[in-house]
Amino acid sequence: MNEGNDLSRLAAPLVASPPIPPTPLGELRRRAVRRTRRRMTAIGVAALVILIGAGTALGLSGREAPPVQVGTTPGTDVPGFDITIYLDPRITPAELAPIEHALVSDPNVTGLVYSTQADAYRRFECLFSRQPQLLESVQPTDLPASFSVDFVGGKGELIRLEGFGSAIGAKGYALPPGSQYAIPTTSFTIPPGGVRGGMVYATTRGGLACPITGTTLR
Amino acid sequence: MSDAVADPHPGFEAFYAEEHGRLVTTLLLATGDAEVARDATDEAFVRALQAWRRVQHMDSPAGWTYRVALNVVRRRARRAALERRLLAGRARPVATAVPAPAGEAWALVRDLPERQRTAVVLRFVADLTEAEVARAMGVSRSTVSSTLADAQRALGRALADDPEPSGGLRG
Repeated sequence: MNEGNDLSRLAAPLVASPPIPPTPLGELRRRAVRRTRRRMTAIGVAALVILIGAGTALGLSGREAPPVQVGTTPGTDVPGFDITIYLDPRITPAELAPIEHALVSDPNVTGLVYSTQADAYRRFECLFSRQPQLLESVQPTDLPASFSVDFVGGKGELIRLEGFGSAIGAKGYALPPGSQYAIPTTSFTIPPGGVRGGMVYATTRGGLACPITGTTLR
Repeated sequence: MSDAVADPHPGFEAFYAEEHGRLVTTLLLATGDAEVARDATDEAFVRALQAWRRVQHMDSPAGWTYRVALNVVRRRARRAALERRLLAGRARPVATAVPAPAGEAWALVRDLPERQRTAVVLRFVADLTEAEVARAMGVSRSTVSSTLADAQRALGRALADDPEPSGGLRG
């Protein structure tokens, strides 16, 4: 194919000395490290959330929310559910205080543990102790601090959820009002005000080799 | 005690030095866009570096890198098309010129349809086999053969009309 040979001939000096110079190898290495770290962090956090959670958040559609159902607190016959509120890492102590106050003073909260990023990382180390590459790629600052909350009762908790949702403030993730979340033991619907400042996942406290640790507030 | 630090990716530096010029030139001639060519080349080599332990043992590490780079190009093209749709014609896409001295080679292929241009530069600039071109483009080998044949006819006609490809961008 003469035309191909023409192209090969024309391109040969470009290949030898391209008009776009190569990016320094050191820069490529840095990008590779950043990319690997981002990927592993995403995998690690997602895996951690999945392992923490008894189920996965479902149904972020905007359809009309079905009636609220509330199951029982795991291991008991008391209606209720557990959630974890993952906090935006940029949250300030002044923003954190009213959330803690709302949870501590809520009569429907029967258990409350605040886990710092260091607590979360210790649990992460436990959960992924056999994956050194993953451990190396994730730092404590990559994991969110959180409140693990046991709620008891029926529809009231959801109203309470709305209440502390507004206390959490505007930072971080937002869960759309009407989103329905389901876990093996229960399901709940995000109330009209939405829940802002954290992601809500179901949790199981017992039966795990790497329990949730932190400061027990209630 | 030696100060030497073991290279965590032995062989990659040589691979990069050997293949960079060919890949970036191939992408430049396939896309006509220097910025896309540079970004896609860098992205492909970053991914090759990340997966080097696996990639270095492949039959054709270069072929794998071309495939990754073409996927990056396609993704960027889809995003650009989406942005253009969202902007609904309010902004014209900004194309970067093919830098000198690539104009002569670009003049030879720029009027080919995208698929033919990609196949031709992969075959004759990247020097991939037809089978490797097929893998890089994600099409069958017979499609590559027919695409190259079509490109050959088109180039032949263009060269008959203009036997001296110009040294720069036309139009």
